[in-house]
Amino acid sequence: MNPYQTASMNSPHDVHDAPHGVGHIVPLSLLLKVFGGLVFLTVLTVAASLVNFGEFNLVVALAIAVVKASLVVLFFMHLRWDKPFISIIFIGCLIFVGLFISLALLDSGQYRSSVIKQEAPGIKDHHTLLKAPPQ
Amino acid sequence: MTTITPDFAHSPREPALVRDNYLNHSRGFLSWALTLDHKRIGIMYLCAVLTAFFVGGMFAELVRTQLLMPNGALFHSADPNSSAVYKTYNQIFTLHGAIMIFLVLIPGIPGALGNFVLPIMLGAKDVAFPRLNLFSFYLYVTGALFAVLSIIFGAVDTGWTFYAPYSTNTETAVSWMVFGVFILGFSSILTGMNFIVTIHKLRPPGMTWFRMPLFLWAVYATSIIQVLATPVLGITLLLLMMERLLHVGIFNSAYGGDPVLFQHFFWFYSHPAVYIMILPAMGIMSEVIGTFSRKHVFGYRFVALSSIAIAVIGFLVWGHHMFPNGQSTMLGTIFSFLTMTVAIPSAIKVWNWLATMYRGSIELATPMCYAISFMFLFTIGGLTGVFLGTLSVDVHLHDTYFVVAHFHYVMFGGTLIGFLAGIYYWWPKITGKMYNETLGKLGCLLIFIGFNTTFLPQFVMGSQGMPRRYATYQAMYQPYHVMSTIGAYIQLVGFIIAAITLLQSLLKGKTAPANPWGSATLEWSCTSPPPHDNFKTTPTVGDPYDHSNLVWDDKIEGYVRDNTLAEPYTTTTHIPKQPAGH
Amino acid sequence: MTTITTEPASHGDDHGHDHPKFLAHHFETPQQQFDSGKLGIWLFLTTEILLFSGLFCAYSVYRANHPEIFAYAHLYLNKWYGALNTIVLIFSSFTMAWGVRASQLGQKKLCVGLLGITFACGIVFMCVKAVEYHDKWREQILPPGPHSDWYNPPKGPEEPKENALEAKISADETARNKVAGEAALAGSSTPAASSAPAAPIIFTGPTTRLASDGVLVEQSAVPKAQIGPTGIDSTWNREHAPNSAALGGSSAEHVGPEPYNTHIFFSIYFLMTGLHGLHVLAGMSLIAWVMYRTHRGDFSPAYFSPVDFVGLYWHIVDLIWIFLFPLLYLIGNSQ
Repeated sequence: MNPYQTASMNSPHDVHDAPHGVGHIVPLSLLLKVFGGLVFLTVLTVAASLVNFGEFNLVVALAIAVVKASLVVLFFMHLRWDKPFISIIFIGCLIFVGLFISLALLDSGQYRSSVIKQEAPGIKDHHTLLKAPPQ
Repeated sequence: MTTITPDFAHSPREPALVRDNYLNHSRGFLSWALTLDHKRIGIMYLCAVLTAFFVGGMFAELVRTQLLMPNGALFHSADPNSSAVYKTYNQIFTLHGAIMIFLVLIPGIPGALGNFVLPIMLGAKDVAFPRLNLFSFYLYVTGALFAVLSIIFGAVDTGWTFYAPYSTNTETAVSWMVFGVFILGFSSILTGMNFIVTIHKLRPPGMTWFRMPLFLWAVYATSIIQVLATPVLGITLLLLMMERLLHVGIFNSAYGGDPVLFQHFFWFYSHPAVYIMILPAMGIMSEVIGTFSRKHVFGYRFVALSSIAIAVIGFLVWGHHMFPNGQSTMLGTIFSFLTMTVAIPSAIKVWNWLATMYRGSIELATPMCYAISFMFLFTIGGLTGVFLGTLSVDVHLHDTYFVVAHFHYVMFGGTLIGFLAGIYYWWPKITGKMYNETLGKLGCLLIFIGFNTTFLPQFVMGSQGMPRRYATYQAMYQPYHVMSTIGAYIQLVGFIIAAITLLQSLLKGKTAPANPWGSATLEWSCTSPPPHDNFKTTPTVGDPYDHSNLVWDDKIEGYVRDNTLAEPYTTTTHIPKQPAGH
Repeated sequence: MTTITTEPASHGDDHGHDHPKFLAHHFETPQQQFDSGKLGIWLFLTTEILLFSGLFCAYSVYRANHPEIFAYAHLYLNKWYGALNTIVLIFSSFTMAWGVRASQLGQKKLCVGLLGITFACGIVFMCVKAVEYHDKWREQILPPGPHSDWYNPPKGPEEPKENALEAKISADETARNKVAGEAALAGSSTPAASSAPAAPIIFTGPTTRLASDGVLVEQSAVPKAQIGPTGIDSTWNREHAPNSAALGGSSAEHVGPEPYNTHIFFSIYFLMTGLHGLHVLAGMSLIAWVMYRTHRGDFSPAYFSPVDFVGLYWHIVDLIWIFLFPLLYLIGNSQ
């Protein structure tokens, strides 16, 4: 069933109805609130970086970033009111990104114990190739 | 008038060009160069892809000629330790691979046949974004141009896989070629986007998802892969160019980088890419086999959903290209296991096609000959893929001619044969002309024989240790190589005959009726060639594989719909009258 | 009676008043056109996300393997510039979303104004970026570039060979390695490479050489990894050590000794912010185009989709920066 067929047949005047156009309109107050929330979260994320959570530094930073991103995607990008299929596409994309990054990490993780960090002798070389620092 | 009338008002034997159709709708170079008509864009793609195929094929003939002698028939050097002279050979096989993959196989069926057929099969007037469609074509041309420029500026010798760190260090024109492929990637992405939106939003009333022809399911699955995988190729190539130009040191271990990371990036795209290549060909198979068995495609839902399954599972198996390359054992095991699962949907399709043919009324027209070749060749290719997917066996077979034979069986014996089947199937619709069946079948036979002669021996010598991408080899492999090269020349003759068939049809072919093959999908209900707008009124849709009320009409030498036939016929009880010969 | 008979009275031209100018010929209704466009732009945005995913993957792998590099080198970035850029982009997203709303309501002047502010925010973002890049240039922390002598070290004086055989074998090895494409290994190429060997050839690989007593010795021919283009050597480190207090951080941050290969961090930094910057510029041109079209009066409550879709693109650019900011600037000191 094509939902588009009937519309123009039955009500050819649809297109002239102002503001009942083709999309949902976001209330301005909601936009302001989301903006406020995003600014607050930015301040929070900078503040959190000044505190040392140990191993959880990355987790905290990413969690706040995910909340900010969700606000942008749901409200600024309208996903809250769009057809569910669009959300499926977006989530699907994120799943594939996650798949890619996690398997690459899994692979390199197997070799992590043999990675040479700063204790490696012989990797550090002389400095004649480097430019002198500007004054 | 009786109950049977032809599908168009004009005299059925009227030359196609007199009727108003998309070919004569407007004239002049600009009307083609700036066209928004998906049919014309499809024709332009077809010409470009076939040209690229010719070029890539010539490189292949050079490769095979070189390998006639153990020391190299074309490029050889007296000093056994000097290998500089083989750089030319490296460049030739790299160009053969890159051109075939990026300029022929990936854009081929979606660009040429998909563009032409998809909207008409859907009952729509055009794709969702016609200007984007034209832009995709020009991106293809631009990418091809950069690939040609790369040949001029010092052709690439890295292999089509551009592995780092060689590709970041070699002095050949890698950046030109890589930039060309980057642009081709965007052509692919935009085509995929266009097709997804078209299939979602431009379907006519009555065409639910499970009433869509299977070719559209296949193209839909292909488009999903194109959209999801190609951007990763884009970033990979971008990083490769940055490493070459700015020396950022991301893939070169001397500078703290990781070459295996390059391979992860590259194969995350390139494995799904092979499914971009094969899925549309499988879609064509469903159409051709259903039509020429005059039976409903067996297991429609299974075939439809298996396309989606292949698309999804295809993203989970890329590591099987990297088993001995430094990937961890754990990941190797995971990928080996997942590779076994990706064979299942493909096998489901082959089984359903065979079941469609069983007790069908088979007509061995040229497209059907290609379809049967496909099933034979793709099965061999697919099964040998299972060998390679087995981790332990792959350690022996990796980078040998076994791999070369495997991928030629699936990409050439699969995609290209499918492409040819589609060209011969939709040729009457596209051009309004029929072709000489005998000549067409002869071409198919020679290609089939030549193909097997070329690639079957390669399985054997690969398992005996003949490495791939080598310009010279030990004398023990020579008999296999000679047989392989003879096969390549037989194929060449086959392709020449196939081309002659089509060219002769353009010049002297009989006028084609709207429905020469008796298929029930929508594209056969408009004239051959179709009018500019495809359909004047949105058509109503039935079962795309219900051939029961299509009857042969001798006057137009084609099939017409007889709606007085209320009950569906099965082909075992009533076989429509077949013509004596085309 | 056939299924599709001769065409009825031309339906295509009848659409006069319910087939408005902005509706393309292959769509039935404006709603269908709008929905198709929305689906199309979201598909494009997923490709943009996947494009950046490669860089995020490289970031993840290198940070997981070398957390010390990231913990140290990120201190050279100024997190206040980063935070300012974040606020600027968030604000621009807000004005963009408001601009789309204005377009939907037919508020032409407001829409143009808001799009203009969004564009201006883009300019501010690029200016801050330019300041940051200039700082890096001043400190000589840049990608090596095509002519860097870091990536292709100049040929030093030839080390004297112990005996003729070793000289001959090392020349052969050099010739073979040159052929294998290791341009960095091209040392002195003596004519001896092309003459026929007097002694039997002993095959050495790229990592072995033949010692004078005929024993194959393992030796890496891979050039030693340099410190990189950061210009950071240990003497300079003492004078210019990134002092987190000077950069506004807390004095609790412990700055350890400089790790090797810090250029890895900066390579990723330049690649990610560079690609993002290119997308900001592309977004700005799209906004300018849509601003012009709005001013010209192309849009109405019934047809505003270009504004909507350009807005979606701009939001994705903001979204990516929301992740880049903490990952590059706010790494903290987790070792």
